[in-house]
Amino acid sequence: MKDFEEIKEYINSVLQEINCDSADDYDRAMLLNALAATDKAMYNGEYEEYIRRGLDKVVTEDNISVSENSFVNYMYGNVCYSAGMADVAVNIARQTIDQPRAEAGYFVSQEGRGCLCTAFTALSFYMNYETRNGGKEHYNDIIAQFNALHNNLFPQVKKAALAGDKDAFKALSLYAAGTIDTMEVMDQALYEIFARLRDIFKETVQILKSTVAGKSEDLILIYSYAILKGCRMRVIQTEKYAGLAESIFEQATETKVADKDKVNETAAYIFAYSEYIRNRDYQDYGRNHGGVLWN
Amino acid sequence: MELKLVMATGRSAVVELDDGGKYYSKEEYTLCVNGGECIKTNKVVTSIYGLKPDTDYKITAEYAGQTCGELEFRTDYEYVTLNVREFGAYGDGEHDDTNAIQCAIMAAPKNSRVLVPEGVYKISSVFLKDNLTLELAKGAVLSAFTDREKFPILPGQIETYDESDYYNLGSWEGNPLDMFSAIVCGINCSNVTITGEGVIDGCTTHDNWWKNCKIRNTAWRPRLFFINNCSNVTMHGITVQNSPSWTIHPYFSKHLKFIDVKILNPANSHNTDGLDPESCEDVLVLGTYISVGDDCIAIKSGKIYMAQKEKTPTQDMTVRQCCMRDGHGAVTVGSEIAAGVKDVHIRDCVFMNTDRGLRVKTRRGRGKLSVLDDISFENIDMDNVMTPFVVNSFYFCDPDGKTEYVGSRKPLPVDDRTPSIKSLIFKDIDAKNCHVAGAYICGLPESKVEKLTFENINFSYADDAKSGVAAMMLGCDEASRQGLIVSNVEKLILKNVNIEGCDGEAIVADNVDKIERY
Repeated sequence: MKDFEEIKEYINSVLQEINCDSADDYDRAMLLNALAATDKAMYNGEYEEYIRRGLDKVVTEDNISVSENSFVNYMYGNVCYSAGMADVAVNIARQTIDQPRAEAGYFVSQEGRGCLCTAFTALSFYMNYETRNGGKEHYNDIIAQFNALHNNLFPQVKKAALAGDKDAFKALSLYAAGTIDTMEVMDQALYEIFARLRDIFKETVQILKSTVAGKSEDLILIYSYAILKGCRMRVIQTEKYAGLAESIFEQATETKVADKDKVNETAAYIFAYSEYIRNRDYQDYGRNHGGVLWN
Repeated sequence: MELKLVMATGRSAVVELDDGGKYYSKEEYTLCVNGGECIKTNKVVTSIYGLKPDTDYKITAEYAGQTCGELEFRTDYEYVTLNVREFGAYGDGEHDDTNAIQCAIMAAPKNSRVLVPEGVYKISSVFLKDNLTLELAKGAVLSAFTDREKFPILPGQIETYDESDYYNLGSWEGNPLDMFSAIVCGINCSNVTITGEGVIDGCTTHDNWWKNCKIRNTAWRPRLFFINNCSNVTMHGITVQNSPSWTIHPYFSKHLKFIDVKILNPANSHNTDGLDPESCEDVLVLGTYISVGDDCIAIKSGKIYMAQKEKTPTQDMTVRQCCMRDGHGAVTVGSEIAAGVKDVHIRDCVFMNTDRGLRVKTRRGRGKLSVLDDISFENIDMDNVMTPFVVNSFYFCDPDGKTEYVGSRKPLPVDDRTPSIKSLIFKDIDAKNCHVAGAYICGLPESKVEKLTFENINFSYADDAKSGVAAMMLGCDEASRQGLIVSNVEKLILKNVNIEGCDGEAIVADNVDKIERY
């Protein structure tokens, strides 16, 4: 186990110098989400100010529109919830009404591209919004989208990943991360939906586990994040999965993956860190933090 | 009058004085044991305590100086009594006696008795085991702590090592969720009897378990009594009260008897149903008195996840000679009934001061396995029940209960999520001092109630009838003195139905395919 304080100092030193202006919108949103996850993990709001400054640059008139129907808007939506800006998040959620869809029903980009990573970029926010402000009216739409993604895109991505395709591995990692993020923010009273997401997550994780060997650290940190989170939430077995995920993070720490010039890699590293430091929380039923972990 | 033996243990017996009374016998009888000690009773189902094991007994029932019934039986053999005081329990209302009582239970051999004598025993959670008789003597109180940290947790699901399945322990509102262990809890055990004149007291108040009760804190609230995958379990005589949530929750269990039990929770307590058999088979509830803050008896079979996984309805259930009062519903079917409920019969009962008599609550999304069939209510007196019969297919008290999908009155396509109701029979029922409506029946437009029978029913209304909402569904407005409001039913049979004093039309039928009136 690495020393948490030492890692945090390392992250803070990178953040002081990181050049977000040169990064694209997606990477910037990734970084803020990662910091929000870390704040939530540490229960101390250490990055609150940093997140606020980041949001100030993109919030106009209580909304965020990086570009029309961009999934990045949803990513900022999750950050807004973390920062207590629910009004902005609610406005962002309106985009779900007009978001272009594939024939099978899942969200696609303005250009009509579909991706398993939609789970990470859009659906976790959609679920977050539905749980907090949407009256759970569209839980069925969300699980229908997951099913459509799984039926239509997953088989070919799986095949590619098993053949060694790096992009496919990355898409599956984000799919796993998005699925577990979605599970975290949903109301378990709709257990049939929770259980279906659990099945999707487990199936995805199996493929990732069998294809992770030899992948570069920038690719596998999101996998590490998803696995550690799955273990923490008792969705997968810690004894079987956590060791590899922790060693991935520790190796990334050794090789200093976080870097002021690599916003995406830094974000992925911080995501993994956010789970690395709190992997006993759910097993302990959140007793040390008021006991309220599920919505 | 016919005197019948209901059950006997080594130390007690239960008899039934069948003189046509409902819960209370029509006359007061004197029961004499072997010609000696006598007790007076005005209850149809009466317990006799203080018997000796492995002994022949003759019970006679006398009325007005005449013997009107007698029976003979032999009490069960008993090998040894394990008094919890001898295992270190204090019974002083202060010390934690959980371990001492648990030790006595675990040490008990077959055909023995674990005795909790008079005293107040503070406990958190004790666990039952196979072949156990636990007797709570008169004056004995198992008094529960209310501190969360004292209670173990039953995880909702634990994944099997090979990752192919889950082991389910906890349950909350129809889903396999983490819950605190019950005050008295049984997991995978059989041949258990809990008997006696004592009390299990949850000690719950609005300052502990009932505070912020809709929010899961660490785990969901404990039941007072929870059995999971148990069989041949009898609860007899005892009083259970002030439960943190559902009071008695048998779960995936069979061959269960609840006889002469008293279930008492304050009228303003939260989710304190009396008895909630969930996916259970062969259940008898006899001579039991229930006064609670929610439904007196709520028959369940889980929400859709557990229903599809286990496909276990609640079936073969009889409720007789019970008195239910002050709850939201006397006997409720639902709302977590995704695996269906069938062959359930309630008869010879008294319902008083409940919001509803029979209450069916279901909704779209419960699924195609959610079939309600062969459910009957017969020979029941209701007094001061707001609405005697409610069938609500638009029940909205779920996290997604107020969505358009659940609430739409327009017919939606029938699919895997659509529940159904087949046959409901109400017969020989006298409902006086009704308030809101005689009956409020609302099936789904795309899946109508197939057959609904009212036979020999008398409705009359309270002089000062209160207004209220008959069913918890969108669009059901406050009303008073309504007659029979029936919608979305295939066949409605009305045979000798008398409605006296309602305002407006006695029968309002909407989208009812066929009405047969006699």
